Amino acid sequence: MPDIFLADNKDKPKNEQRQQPESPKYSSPHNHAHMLSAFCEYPSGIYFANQQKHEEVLLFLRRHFVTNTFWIIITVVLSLLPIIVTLLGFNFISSNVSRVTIFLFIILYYMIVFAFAFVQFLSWYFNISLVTDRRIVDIDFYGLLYKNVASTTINNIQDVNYTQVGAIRSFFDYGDVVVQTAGTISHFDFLAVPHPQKVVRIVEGLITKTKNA
Amino acid sequence: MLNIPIIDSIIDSISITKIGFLVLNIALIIFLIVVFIQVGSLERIFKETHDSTIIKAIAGLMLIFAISLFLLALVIL
Repeated sequence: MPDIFLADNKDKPKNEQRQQPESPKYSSPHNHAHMLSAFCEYPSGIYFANQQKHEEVLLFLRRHFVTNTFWIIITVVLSLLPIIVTLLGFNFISSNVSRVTIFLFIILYYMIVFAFAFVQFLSWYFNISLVTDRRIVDIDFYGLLYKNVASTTINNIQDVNYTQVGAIRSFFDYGDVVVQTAGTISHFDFLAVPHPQKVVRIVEGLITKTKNA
Repeated sequence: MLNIPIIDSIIDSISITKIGFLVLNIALIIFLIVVFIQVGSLERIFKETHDSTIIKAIAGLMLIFAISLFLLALVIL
């Protein structure tokens, strides 16, 4: 449908224009953030608490999905364990125990395994970092009970750098991005995020833009 | 044995298997309640359009399933 009326940019207040980042809005395949996304530029459908009215999320980051390999392997092994034990013929269950009891215990066992996997997934899913056109937000969620939400404005950012050590990190292209700030929290760590050099470039672009404004 | 007739008879009537199962099940239920509460609070901080709802639903279903299992075990065992 053709646009009938498009508002002219010069009508906007100067401050609002200034806060717009340099936006390379190329048609990137990353624009749609799905459940397992670890890196997404200009994600659609992502919101966070205290998001301001015209605040745009530029970058959405999680740990690279490869970092989940360890707990996935453990879950698979634990899931196969009862089958392997049965196939190998180990019989450590007393003959007095009824089949119903064994069945209930197996269901309980699989529920515990699933709960373990689910919590590991949640630790990955809710451990996110967001870069908006006004600030960076870091949500940390570890071990079910530890939760930390920190944010700082782009003005407070002093330096940004990344480290990528090891063959696996180089192969899968992920690393740690450290954002140093002048605020009460001295630095923000985006751990094991995909395409760290891209993240650094975008944050540096924001810093430059803010300083020039 | 505690040599108290009433308590000893109660302990005799409940098998170790049943106690073990119920204790494990209660621990799992408490754990899942904490998970459900945390997912709810984290969903308020960060929300993906549909995916956060799915995750909350999974947490709720697991909790319901664990409670059902507990009730089933109370009846059967």
